[in-house]
Amino acid sequence: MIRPSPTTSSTTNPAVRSEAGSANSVLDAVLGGVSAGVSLANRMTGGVADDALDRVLASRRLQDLTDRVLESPFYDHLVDRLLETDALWRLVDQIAKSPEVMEAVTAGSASLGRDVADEVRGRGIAADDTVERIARRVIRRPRG
Amino acid sequence: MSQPYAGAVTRTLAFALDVALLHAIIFLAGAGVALIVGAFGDVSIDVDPLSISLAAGGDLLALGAYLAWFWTLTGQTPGMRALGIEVQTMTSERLKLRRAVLRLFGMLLAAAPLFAGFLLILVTDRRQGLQDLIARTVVRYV
Repeated sequence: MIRPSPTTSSTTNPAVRSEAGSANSVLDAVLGGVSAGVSLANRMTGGVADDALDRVLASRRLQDLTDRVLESPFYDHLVDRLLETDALWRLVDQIAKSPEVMEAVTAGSASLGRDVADEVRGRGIAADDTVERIARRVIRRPRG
Repeated sequence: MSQPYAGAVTRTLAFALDVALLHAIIFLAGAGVALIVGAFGDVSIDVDPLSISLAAGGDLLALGAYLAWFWTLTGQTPGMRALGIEVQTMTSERLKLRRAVLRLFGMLLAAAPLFAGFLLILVTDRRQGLQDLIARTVVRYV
C-alpha cells in the first residue's frame, strides 16, 4: 500500500470498521435525500428548485462560506483525519494499480523512449555522412 | 537518408550500447553469484595474470556469443535495434551461424591492426568493414 507511515490499522479494529460503515451509510442517505428532494421539488415547482440551487451555488455568500471553511482549523482536522483512514489509501492504491493508469504510464515511457531513439538515429545518420565525407576528402576518394 | 547502408558512427554507437548492456548483465550476474557464494563462505578474487587472462577471455567469448546469437536470431542486437540498423547477407537474408562466426573472426582481424579494418566502413561503397567483406554481409538502416 502507498500509505506513508501507518501508525495504527483501523481496518483491524471492528469498532472503527463499523463506525466507517455507519458514516458511509449516513453519507449515502444524506446525498440520496438531497438529490431526491431537489428532484421532487423540481417536479412540483416546474424547475424553480433547480434555478434556486443555481443561484445559491453562484452566490457570493456561499463562496465566502467555502473560504471560511477551507481556512478554518476544521478543514485541516478533516484532511488529517482523511489521511489517517485506510479507505483513502486503498482508493489511491486502486487508482495507481488501475489498468488505465498503468497503460498511461507505460505509453508515456514508451513514447519518451521512441522519441529519444528517433533523435539519436537521426543524429547518427547525419554524423555517418559527415564522417564519411571527411574521410573521403582526406584520402581523395570521392563516393562513386 | 543518403544511402541504405549504416555508417561508422551509428554502428559504433550500437556496438557501445551492446557492450554496455552485456557488461551490465555480467556485472549483475557476478554480483548475484558473489552474494550466494558469500553466504556460504569467503569470496576472494585473485588478481594474478592467469585469472585476469581467463576473465578477459571469458568476457570476449561472452561478447562473441551475444553478438552471434542476436545476428542469427533477428539480425539485430539490442544496440542495433535501438539505432535502427540490421546486419544481412548480400542477398538480404538473415545470417546463419557459420557466417555469424566468420563475421566475428573478421571483427578480430579488423581490430588487430589498431582497428584499421573498421575504417574501411568509411571508404567502401557499401560501407563494409573488413568483417563484412570477409563474411559477405552488409549493415542497413531499417
